[in-house]
This record gives sequence, structure tokens and C-alpha cells, in this order.
Amino acid sequence: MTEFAGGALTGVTVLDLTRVWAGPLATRILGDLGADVIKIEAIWSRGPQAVPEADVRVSGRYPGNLAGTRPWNREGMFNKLNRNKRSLTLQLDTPEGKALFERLVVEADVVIENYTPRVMPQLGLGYERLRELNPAIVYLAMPGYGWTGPSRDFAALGTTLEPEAGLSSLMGYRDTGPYKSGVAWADPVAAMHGAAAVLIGIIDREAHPQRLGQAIELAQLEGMICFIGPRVMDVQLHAPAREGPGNRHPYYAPQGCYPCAGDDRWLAITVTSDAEWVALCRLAGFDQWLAYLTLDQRLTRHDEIDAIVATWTVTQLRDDIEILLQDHGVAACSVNDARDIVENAHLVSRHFFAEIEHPEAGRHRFPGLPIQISATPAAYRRPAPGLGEHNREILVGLLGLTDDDLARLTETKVIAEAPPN
Amino acid sequence: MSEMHSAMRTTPSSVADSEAPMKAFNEMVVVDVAGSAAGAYAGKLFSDLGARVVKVEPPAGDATRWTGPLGRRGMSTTFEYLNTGKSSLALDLRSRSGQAIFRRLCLAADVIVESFSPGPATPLADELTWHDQAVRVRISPFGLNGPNARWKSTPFTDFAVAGHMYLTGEPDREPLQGAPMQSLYAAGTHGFIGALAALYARPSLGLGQDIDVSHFEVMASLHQWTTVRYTHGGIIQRRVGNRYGSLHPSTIYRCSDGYVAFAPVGNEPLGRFLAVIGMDELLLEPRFSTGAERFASADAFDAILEPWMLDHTVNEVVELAQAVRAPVAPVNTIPGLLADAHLKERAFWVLPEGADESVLQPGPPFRMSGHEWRLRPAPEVGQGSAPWVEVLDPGAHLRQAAIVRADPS
Repeated sequence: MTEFAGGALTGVTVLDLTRVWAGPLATRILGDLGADVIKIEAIWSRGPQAVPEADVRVSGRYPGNLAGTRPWNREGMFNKLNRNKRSLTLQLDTPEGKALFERLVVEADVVIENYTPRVMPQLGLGYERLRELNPAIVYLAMPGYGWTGPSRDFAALGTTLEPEAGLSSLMGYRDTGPYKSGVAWADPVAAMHGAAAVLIGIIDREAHPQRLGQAIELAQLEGMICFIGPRVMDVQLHAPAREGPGNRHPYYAPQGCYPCAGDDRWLAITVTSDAEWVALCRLAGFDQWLAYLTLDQRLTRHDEIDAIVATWTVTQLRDDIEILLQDHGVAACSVNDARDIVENAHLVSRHFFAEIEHPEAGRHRFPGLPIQISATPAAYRRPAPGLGEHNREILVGLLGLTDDDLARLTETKVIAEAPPN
Repeated sequence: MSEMHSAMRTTPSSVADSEAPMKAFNEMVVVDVAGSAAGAYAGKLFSDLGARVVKVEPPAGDATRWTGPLGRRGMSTTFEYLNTGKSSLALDLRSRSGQAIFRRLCLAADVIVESFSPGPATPLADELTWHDQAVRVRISPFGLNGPNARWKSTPFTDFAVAGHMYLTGEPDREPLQGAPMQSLYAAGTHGFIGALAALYARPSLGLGQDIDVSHFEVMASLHQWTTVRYTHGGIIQRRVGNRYGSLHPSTIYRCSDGYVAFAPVGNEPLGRFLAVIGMDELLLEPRFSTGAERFASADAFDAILEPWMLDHTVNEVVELAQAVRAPVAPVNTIPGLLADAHLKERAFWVLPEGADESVLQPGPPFRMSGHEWRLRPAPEVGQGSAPWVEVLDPGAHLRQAAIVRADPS
């Protein structure tokens, strides 16, 4: 029997070539679940040595708004996405860098990248080559549009894929055009599908008599569309709604975002039954006739009802009436901001946050893995790595290179522990 | 999660002596007692990828069959989409006999998925679902414990409580909801991930596990830099309309025949695009010289670009931009999406196998070279349960007592 000191994926080695958000979040999920994730980074991948002070302040992503002498190891977004990973710098476009990567492929279980489809074949590292090196390898590619089709080489970001996938057309005020969500929503959606696909790949391999790996093509646009399946079906059967949905629901009423006392404080409420509506009317002290409105009447007179509900909420503290309404069975939630989330007592009580001490960025509270798994819980074993922090550990410890080799690789800029000047 | 059972599972006596083989996907049995779209989507992922998924619903049918717009088969499109390929076991879980059958079904299950919405989580009694190899996934609005575990939610309030709504919409207007049901799909996919991780570990661990996933935590974990800007820089990110973060232009522009999503925020891709349209001198102006400067002067920047956009079609803008590798895409309506040439060429849209209807559904979220993905129709009430019913109710007594509804096929 294997000793289970770590997470569910203890013993799984992932080579992570991904950048930006979708890919790094996919590999972080795997890392939080116990996989050994080796992040392979170009020596310039974390930007230049120095960051202009104005950019540091505007971004708000450096601890205390200070870049420090090694800003590339202090950026919070990177450090959030790359905990539980080791960093190996490697220039894949050099013969030596590529050869070292190929030796790692032989040792690894999974390779993940989120380049456009041209890049890996151009590097001579397409799936055919990876499979030649290691038939058991599970290879996940996460391009925006997939490996085929007229848009395959198009540039994509989460902020373009969400609107392209049709989600923005389902958002917007009742008097405006389409809206984007406040995060590049297609990115985390691709991340979760990517993590799931890799898990299927390694389960298949263990169940396979020859222990064969496989290639997985995750077109981020397509995965995003899977999150609005029924709406795609509805449009083929019924004419689509012509106005933006605002904050309305097609068959719950009222539903809205209501102003509360204070600056930019709001409460989101969905009334899903007559009983909940009666409870809300009683708690707010509304005239009795209101409580008798049926669902059809509430849908028809939604504007009027919104105005009445707002006359009550605007005099109240958001958090007080959130609790009051929830205590009486009404789905009411604060429109939380960043501070509300980070300080949320419910999240804290469930040990949701990863409190991580980083040697160059200090101690911070980050969102944890939102999967509580009883016998193999998520562990936050190590902070995000410094650039090239594990060059020696991996190249000498795992691949058996010598100190002279390391010096030469550093000299020829195949590896580094700081970005080039 | 039951503390008693988690303790039981870690006692050495219940740990396997030797490694069991990994079960292949198509040998796995998944019991789906989802009360919300979250669990149903987790079950759909298992089903379309080849596991045997049994949807347990009341003899009269799951209420979600008739909630929302109906499809051609008289069931809601939401139900039809979320239950592809499952068999339906129509069973009265309120009766003792129904529970006894359900218990036997769970003993055969590798995975049991429960989900709760909009109400709080009240898991099925442990003795109904537990066995030491079972992976039990519970997906709920706020999780199984904590001070707000009893709270209600809808996808609308999930979007609010987890910090997404505050970021969406105009700065001087009320915050705005996201696309429908996103918290449920996200939570369902995380339940699926948790189940897969537990299935992967099961042969070595010798045990199944309990998975607790909440809409709130899933959505709170899926921010880009929202919490980081607060914990690191003391900044509380607010909504900025259709702009983005602190860089510009990452926005939506109106064109002559629709909208484009325009996101070349870096000077290099933006410069290439502006050169194509003869406006690259803009980047020489100090107020437009960096993404952050452009964000501070975004109204002025947009006032220059908008007239050009209005003079061109969506296709023209996308073609010009992508020719110089600038990330720009159409803002698709759903009919526009269905007509998209790229998705058509990739045969993304599919009809369920053997379905005598013509409503297309999205294809797989990812394509695997060594693993089949199939789309089969959602079941009628009780459809596909015959093999289970034969085993679980050999004398047909429970069918006569209307505790189990017979397979209509």
C-alpha cells in the first residue's frame, strides 16, 4: 500500500508550460490536490528586472505597493496562481533547453501548455514527439480556438472569449448593450475543464493495460459555451429576448440588486416563492396588499416593486438585513467587495483561505482550493517559487547535471534566477 | 461530512492490504441525486464521458423537468441538457422500501452526487449512501458547515456574495448579474474534479472520500486579481463598465453592425493594430503611452477610436486585428454563435444520438485522443432503469406499490 502523506495526486509530476491565468490556475488546482508541478519558465517570462513605480501603484499587486529589488518574485497575481509549484527556467528555443525539457518529459506524467497551436510543433515538441519520448504522457493543450478551423491561429484572451462565446449577449442593463463580467470568466472556466481533463487522462492511463497516455485538446471557446448549453437550445426553439436582462430572472420575482445605507452598498435578493415574498413584506413593514401579489403580478409590476423594496433597503445596513432575510428563508446576499471576501467569517470558519508566507513577498491570505476532500485535503506546502528557484534541485537532483553544467547554462542564458537586463 | 465516518476511513483496519486496480471510466457507476444544476452538471460530465450514471428522481419526475422553457420532447431544455445519457430511476425516497432500494443502489456506486439549491444542505442520511469505497460529492450553496451553512442562494445571489457582482456593470449604476447559472456550472465542475481526484487516489488509499463543494467558495476562488489587489496594495477593485482592470483598451466597442470585444492592451499588439488603421501616432501622446495611462484617459482614447469602429463591420475589425495578431473577437449573440464558421468546421454542435429532433447542443468541453465522448438523449421518467430495477426489485412488488416507476421504454 502506498503511504498517503500528501494529497490525492501525490506522486503525479506535471510539467507546466502555461502562462497568464487559465493554464496556471489549472495546474494550481492539480498542485493543491498534491501533484508535483514543475513550472517551466522562459527567463524573461516574468517581465523586466525593474517595474516603473507608477505601474506598481496602479496595479496594486505588489506587497505594500513596493516593487522591491526583485519585483519579479513579489507580484501578487503570480504568487497567488503558482503556490505548490517549483520553478525551473529553461529556454525551449535553444537546443540545450529543449534537450533538458525532453529528459524531463521522460520522467513526467503530464505536460500542460496554453500556447496557440503553432508553438509546440515549431519548437519540435508536438504531441508526436512527446509520445515518442514517453508513451504514458498525458498532454493537455489549451488553445483559445483549438487545433483546427479557420480561427485556429487567432489571438484570444479570456476577455475576448467570454463575449465571443455568447455570454455577454445574456448580460447587460435593460437599456444597454452587452456587458462583460468583472473577471475574464473564460479563463477560470478553461482552468477547471483543464484540471478535470488531466485527471481523466491519468485515470485512463492507470486503467489501461499498456498504461498509455493521450493528447487532450481544450479549445477555450468551446468549453465556455458548455456553460450556457440550455440557452443555445432555447434560441433554436423560441425567439431570444430582445432586451438586456438587467438583474431580472425569467420566473422568479422580485430579483434585484437593492441599494443599502452607506456608499456603494447593495443587497442582492431573489424571491423564489410566495412564502418568501410574504416574509420579506412583513420584515420590511410593507402595506399588506403587496404581500398578496402573485408571481405573475410580481413579474408584471417588477419596476414598481423594485422601487418599493429600495425605499426599505436604502434605510438599512446591508449586513443587518442580509442576516434578517436569510433568517426568514429569503435568498439575500451582500454584494461583497474584495475586503468583504477576505474578511468573511463564514469562509474563515471553513478554513477556505490559504495563508501563505513568501520569503520575498511576506504573508498573505489567498483563496484556497474550493474542494474539501476528506482523507486527502488540500495542502499549501510551498509558496510560489522565485524565478528559477529550483533550477539546481531539478537539474542536478533529478537530471544529474553538475555545477559546471549549471554555470554554463547560466552563462548561455538557458537558465537564470533573474530576468535579463 | 460525518466525523464518525471520516474517522472510520482512516483507521488502519479499513485500509486495503494491496492496491486494487484502477476502474476504467466505463465501468464506473455514478448515482446522481442532484437537486440543482450543479450536481446535474457533474453527473452530465461523467455521463457524456462514458460512466453509467443513474439519476434518481421522484416517481412523478424531477421538478426541474418542467422548470424553464420547454424543448421539443416536453422537458425543459435545462433538464434535457444537464441529463444527457443518464438513466432515470424513479424512486420514492420517502418510503422505507424506496430507501432500501436506494441503499442497495449506493452500495454498487463508485460516486454519489448530491446537490442542494436554493435551500441549505441537508445531506441524505449517512447510512443510505455510505460504504468505504464510495466517493460522495455534496455540492451546496454555502457548504456543509460554518455559520451560514443554512442560508439560501440562487445563481444571482451567488454572483453577489462571492464578489463578482460588485465588479460587473457601470461605476455609477447598480452592480449587474453575470450570465445565467454560472455558479452552478462552476461548482458542478469542481465537484467533478474532486470526485476524479478521489477516484484516482482510491486504489492506493483503499478508500473512497467525501467531497464538500460550495458555490460561494468556488466563485470566491475564481477571481483574477480582486483579492490580491486588496491584500497586497490595499485597493478595493470596483466595477469599471465594459473596461477592465487597470489597463486600456480592454473593452467592447460598437461597430456598424454589432459589437467587438477588443483586448490588445499591450503596446505591441495595440501598436500593430493602430498602424493598420493609420492611427499609430496615438501611442506617441503621453496620455496614451502605456496601458495604465490609457486607462486614466480612456474616455479620450475611446472618443478617437469609436468613430472609426462605427464605420466598420464586426468582421472587418476582427479580420484586420487578427491579421496582426491583436486579440479581438465578435461579441456574439446566440444565433450568431450557432452560425459561426469556425465552430461549424470543427463540428462542435451535435445532436444527441438517435434523437428524433433537431435541437443542437454544445459538444465536448475538451477532446481526448484516447477517450470517447458521446451525447445521448436525456431520459424520460424511469427510462433506462430496467436493468437496475430487475436487480433491485426482483419480485416487482415495489413497482406495483408505485415506489418504483417502471421503465416506459
